[in-house]
Amino acid sequence: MNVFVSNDLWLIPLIPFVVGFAIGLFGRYVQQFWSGFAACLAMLASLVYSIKAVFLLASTPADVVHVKQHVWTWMTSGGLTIDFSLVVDQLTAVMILIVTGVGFLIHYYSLGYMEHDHDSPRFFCQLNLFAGFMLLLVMASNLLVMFVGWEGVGACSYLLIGFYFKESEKAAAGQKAFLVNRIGDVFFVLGVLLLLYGLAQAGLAPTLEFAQIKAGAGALEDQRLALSWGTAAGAGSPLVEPTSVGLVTMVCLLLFVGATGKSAQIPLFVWLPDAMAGPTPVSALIHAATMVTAGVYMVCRLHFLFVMSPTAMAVIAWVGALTALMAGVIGLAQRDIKRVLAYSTISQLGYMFLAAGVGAFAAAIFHLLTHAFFKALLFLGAGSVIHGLKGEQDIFKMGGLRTKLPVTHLTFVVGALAIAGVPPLAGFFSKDLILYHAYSSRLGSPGLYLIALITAVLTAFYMFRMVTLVFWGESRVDRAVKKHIHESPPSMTITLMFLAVLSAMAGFLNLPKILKGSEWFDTVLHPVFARVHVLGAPDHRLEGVLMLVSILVAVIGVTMTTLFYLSPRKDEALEELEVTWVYRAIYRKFAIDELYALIVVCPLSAFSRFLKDAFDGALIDRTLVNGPPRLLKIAGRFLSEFQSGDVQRYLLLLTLGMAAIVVYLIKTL
Amino acid sequence: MTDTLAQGYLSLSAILFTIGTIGVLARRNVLVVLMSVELILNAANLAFVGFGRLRGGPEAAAIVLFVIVVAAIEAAVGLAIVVALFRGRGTTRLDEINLLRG
Amino acid sequence: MTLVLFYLFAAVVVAGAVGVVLASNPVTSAFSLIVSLLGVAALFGLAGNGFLAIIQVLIYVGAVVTLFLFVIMLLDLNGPDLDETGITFHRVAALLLAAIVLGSLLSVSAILGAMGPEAEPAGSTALQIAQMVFGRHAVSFELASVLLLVAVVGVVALGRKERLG
Repeated sequence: MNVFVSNDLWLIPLIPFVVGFAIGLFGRYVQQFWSGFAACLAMLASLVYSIKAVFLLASTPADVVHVKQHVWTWMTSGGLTIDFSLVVDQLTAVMILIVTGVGFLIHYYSLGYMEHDHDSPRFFCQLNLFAGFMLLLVMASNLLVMFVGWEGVGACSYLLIGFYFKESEKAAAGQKAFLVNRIGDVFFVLGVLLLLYGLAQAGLAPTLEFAQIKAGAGALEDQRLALSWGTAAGAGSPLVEPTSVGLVTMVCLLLFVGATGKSAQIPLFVWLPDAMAGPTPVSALIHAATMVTAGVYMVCRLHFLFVMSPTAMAVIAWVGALTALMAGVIGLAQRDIKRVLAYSTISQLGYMFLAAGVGAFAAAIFHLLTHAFFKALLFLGAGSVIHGLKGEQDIFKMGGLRTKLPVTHLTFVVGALAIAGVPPLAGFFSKDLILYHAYSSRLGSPGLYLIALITAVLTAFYMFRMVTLVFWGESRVDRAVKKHIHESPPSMTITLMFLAVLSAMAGFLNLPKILKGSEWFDTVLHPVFARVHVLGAPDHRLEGVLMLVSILVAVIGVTMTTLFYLSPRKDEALEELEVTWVYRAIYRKFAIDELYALIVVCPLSAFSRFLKDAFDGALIDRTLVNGPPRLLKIAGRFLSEFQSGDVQRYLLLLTLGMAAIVVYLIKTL
Repeated sequence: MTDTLAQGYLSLSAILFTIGTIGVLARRNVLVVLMSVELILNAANLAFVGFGRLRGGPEAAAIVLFVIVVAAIEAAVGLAIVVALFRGRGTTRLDEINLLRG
Repeated sequence: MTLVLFYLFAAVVVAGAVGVVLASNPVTSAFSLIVSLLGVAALFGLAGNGFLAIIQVLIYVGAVVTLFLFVIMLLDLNGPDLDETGITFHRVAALLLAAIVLGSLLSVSAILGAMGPEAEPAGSTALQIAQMVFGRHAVSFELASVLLLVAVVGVVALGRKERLG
C-alpha cells in the first residue's frame, strides 16, 4: 500500500477558511463588492488546487492508494495517535471537485443574488467557511478530523439558514437545523467511540485513520456486543438470556443515524424543508454540493465497515427507499417552489442511501455528482425566478414565465428533465444505475426496486408540475409584480447555463456498457470500492429491460403531468382533489413536524416548564433562596413587635422578671 | 416579740414602692414617672429606717443619706434629659418618644 | 402614741403618693409629692432620726420638687393630660404586676418583722451619722461628691442649646 505525499493539499480547505475569516473581520470596512469577489476568488483558488491534486493523484502509479499530507500530529493519548492529516483518493477527488466546482459557481451566482443585501460580507464569510469545513470533511484522513468538518458544516448551516435572523421564523429554522443535526452528531460520536472499543476488543491498536481501520476491518467482523445491563449480576442468572449484537452492526447503525441527521433521512429529515429560510444560494449549496452529501459520503467512506453488516445495509437501503418515497409524495402537493425542491432533495438523497444500502457505492457517489449539478441548477433557477418576481415563492402565483425569463426557463427545464430521469441527461444514467442495482444486487430486492420506480414516477410528476405551473400556461402573477418581471443579471444566468451544460452532459461520464460506454466513473472509483462483492454479476439483458422501464416511466410521467397541468380543466380537477383527505395529508407533510412536536418537543418543553416552575421556581427560588430570608423577615417582623421603642413596655417586662425572681426567692425562704 | 413600728415601716415601704411602681408603669407623662421614681426611692429609705430600728445603730441612716444624694442627682440629670427631649421632640409623653422602635 | 402618729403619717404618705400617681395635672402631682415626702420626713423623725428628717425636707422639698416645678413651668406643661384616662391592656397588666409586687413585698416585710429586733430600738443622732459617714464610709462619701460633680457637668452639657462636637 503506497502513499504519495503532497504538501499542497492543506491549501484546499485552508484558502476558503482564511479568506472567510478575513471577510468576516474586515469585510465591512471595504466596498461590498470586494468581499464577494474575494470569496469567489478563494473558491476558484481552491478549485485550482483541487484540480491540481486530482491530476497529481491521476499521475501516480497504479499501486498508490492516495495522496496524503500530514499537517501536524493533533493529539496522542495512550496508544491512540490522531494526526491532523488530509488525503485525496478517488472518492475524495470526486467530492472536492463537486464542492469546489459547484461551490464556486454558487459563489459566483451569489455575487448577483446578494448584490442589494447590505449584509453580504457576513454572507460570503459564512459561505466560505461552509465550503472550507465541507472540504475538511471530505479530505479528512481520520474520523476525528472528519468530525471537525462535520460539526463545522452544521454550525455554518445554522448561521446561513438563519441568515435573516431578524425574522424569528427564519432564526427558528436555523435552530431547528442545528438541533436536529446535533441529535445525529451524538450518534456519530457514539459510533466512533464504539468503533474504538471494538478495535480494542479485537486486539487491534486503537486508530481512527480510515486506511488503518480498513486494513483491520476483518478482525472486527466476529466481535459481539453484549446487550444486557449489569453483566456481572446477570451472567449467572438463567432468567436473563445473554443477548448480543454484532459490534460492527451497532457501529454502522450509530454512524448511519449520524448520517441521517446530516443527509436528511427518516427520521431526522425535518430540518431540510425549513432550511430554505436562508438565501437561495445557501439552499443550493446545502442541497447540492455540501452538507447533505456528507452523510452519503461518510457511509461510502466507511463502506468497508458497512458491508460487513447485512443488517445495517438493509436498514440503510430501506430507510433510503422509504425516505425517497415519502419525500416524493410530500413533494407532490407543495406550493412553495423551494419547498418542492427541498423535498426532491430528500427524495434524491434517499436514492443515494438506497444505492449505498445495496452496496452500489459508486452509483451512490455518481448520483451525488449528477444531483449536485442539477439540484444546484434547479435551486439557482428557482432563485432566479424568485429574484425576478420580487420574492414570490408560490408556484400557483406564477405561470407563463417562459417568455419573461428565457434563460432561466431553458436551464430550469434541462434541470427538471435531468432529475426526472429523461435520457440522455445526467439524472437518467445515475438513477437508472441505482434502480438496476436495487433490483440486481445481492442485497437488493424487487420491493426496493418497486419503491424506487414509484419514486421515479413521483419525481417526474412533481418536477413537471412545477415547471408547467411556473413557466408554461397562462400567467397567474399578481398584477403589481407583473410589470417588474425581469431576467436575472449575467452572473446568475451564466452560472445557470454552465450548470445546465453540466447537468446535461455529466451522465456520459458513466455511460453503461450496453450503450457502448466504458463506465468510466465506476472504473475511476474502483480502487476505493474494490472490496465490495455484494453486487450481482453484470446482466446486460436485465439492465436493458430495466433501462427501458425507466425511460418509459420518466417520459410517461413527464408527459402526463404536463398535459394535465396545461389542460383547461385542471382547476376543477385540482379543486376536487384538494378536498380529499389524502391530498390534505400530503399537503400537511403527513403532519410529521406536528408529530415530532407532540412526541418530542411537547414532553420536553412540558418537562422543562415543570423544572422551571416546580424545581427552579418553587424549590430553588422560593424555598431555598428566598425561603430563609422570608422566614427571617417573618420572624423579624414578629420579634420587632417587642422592640416597640416604648420604654414603659420594657419596664413592664423588666418588672415582670423582677417579680418572678422575688416570688421565687420568697418561696425558697 | 415583734416590733410593731418596724413592721409598720416595712409594710408602708412596700405600699409606697407599689404605688411608685404603678406610677412608673402606667403614667405616660415623663415628669410624673420621674416623681414616681422618687416615691420608690423613698420607699427604699423607709425600709432602711425600718431595718435600722430592727438592727440598731446609725448604719442605716448613713445609707439613707447616700440614697438621698443619689436621688437628688437622679432628679437633676433626669430633668435635664426631659428638657433636652422636649426641645427636640416637643413632647413629654413617653408613648410618643419611640425613636428606637424596630 | 407613737403608733397613732405612725398611722397618721403613713396615711399622709400614702395619700400623697396616690395623689402623685392619680393627678392628671403634673403640678398637682408635684404638690402631692411634697405632701408625701413631708410625711416620710415625719416618719424619719418618729423613728428617732431627726437629722434625716431635716435633710429630707431640705433636699427633697427644698431642692428636688422645686426643680420639678421649675421644669414644669419652663416647659409650660401646666395643664391636664387628656388621654391619661381609660383602661388599656398596658394599665391592667401594670396593676396586676403591682399587686404581685405588693403581695410579695408585704410577705417579706411580715417575715422580716416577725424576726424581732436584735438590739434595743434606737434612733441615730447627727453626731453618730457624721461619725459613720466620715469614718467608716469616708470613701463612699468622696465618691458621692465625685458623682455629684459628674452630674453637674452632665446636666450643664445636656442643657446647652447647641450640640457639642
